Amino acid sequence: MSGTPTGRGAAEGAGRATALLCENAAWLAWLEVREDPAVASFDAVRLPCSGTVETGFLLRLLEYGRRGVIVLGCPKDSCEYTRGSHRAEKRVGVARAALREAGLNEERIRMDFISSVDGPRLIAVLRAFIEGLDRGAARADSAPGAGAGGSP
Amino acid sequence: MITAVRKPFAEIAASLEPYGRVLVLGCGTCVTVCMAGGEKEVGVLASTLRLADREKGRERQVLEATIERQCDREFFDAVKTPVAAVDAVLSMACGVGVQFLGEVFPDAVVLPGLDTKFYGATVEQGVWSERCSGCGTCVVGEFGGICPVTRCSKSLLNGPCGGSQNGKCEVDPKGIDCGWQLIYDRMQRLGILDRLERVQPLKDWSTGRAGGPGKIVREDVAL
Repeated sequence: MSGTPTGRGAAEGAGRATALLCENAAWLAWLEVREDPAVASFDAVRLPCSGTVETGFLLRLLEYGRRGVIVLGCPKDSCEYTRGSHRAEKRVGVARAALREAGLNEERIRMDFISSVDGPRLIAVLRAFIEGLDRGAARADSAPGAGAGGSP
Repeated sequence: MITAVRKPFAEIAASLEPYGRVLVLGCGTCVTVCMAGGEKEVGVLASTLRLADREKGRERQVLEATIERQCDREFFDAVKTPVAAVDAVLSMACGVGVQFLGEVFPDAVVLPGLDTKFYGATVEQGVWSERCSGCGTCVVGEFGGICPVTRCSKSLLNGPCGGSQNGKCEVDPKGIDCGWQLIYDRMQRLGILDRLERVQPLKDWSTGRAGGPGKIVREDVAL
């Protein structure tokens, strides 16, 4: 049985974003750009395939205080495991729908597809993701009754 | 299996609103297979509830657990402590499990997290289809292995109605196959079409829902 996340795992990296990267493409692009300032606010997690991502895991990361979670899979037509990126996209969609249904900011979870040689696009995607989180936080701060909970 | 779908989040959130400590309790059998109320679905719902609470600044404890089955008494032993510690239990089982949970823990507030649908089969990943109505006296042997009670929208036992068009049922011409078309095609394939000439006697509906709540007593296996 489990409940509200507490302890070491809940505190680590709170307020930072997480990038879940498929090791067959997006991770290789990440290695090329990891010194870029755009990736400084992300913690990277290397996955054997983006298709291993579960919906509950994405939501759990937000529960643990992660500002946002972005899943970066292979381009769908060149997925190492054929359907991995497609599966991940569906699960990300379910997680976003869960947030939307609960009246929360679905932009805190996103999916994109990055090839191993597309470092510049990876930087652009990460920048856009952070900017989206900032806009969401600004909207939440200006909403009536803001300040109660405080997720961006 | 018994199939179900999760209730809308708003309905669940409204039902849990009065309670400060809740347990989301999954079931590891039918509703796990149909991906509505198993451990993964419990995790997604519990996380979403906690995130929504945090957004509202609400302090509430949302626990989660999943047991093997909610239709057998012995599996509830594992959650005696959390059930006693919360104000309400949201059961992610079928209607059977929800009610039996309340019977096992008579002092617990029990709420349904799913809408139970039907006895069905997984026809493909993500698609479940009704196959049995639990009428209590199975007649599929008379109809090439296809149940007219369930597969015919009107449960007709002596042939199709006038609403059968191009193999589809008038109730939903796009989505529902005519059960009698299925029966005819299957019996033709099996070479037993002549059996359809038998006139079916009146069916005893009292062995199903029309006879009130069902009960099976097996003295040979009772302890």
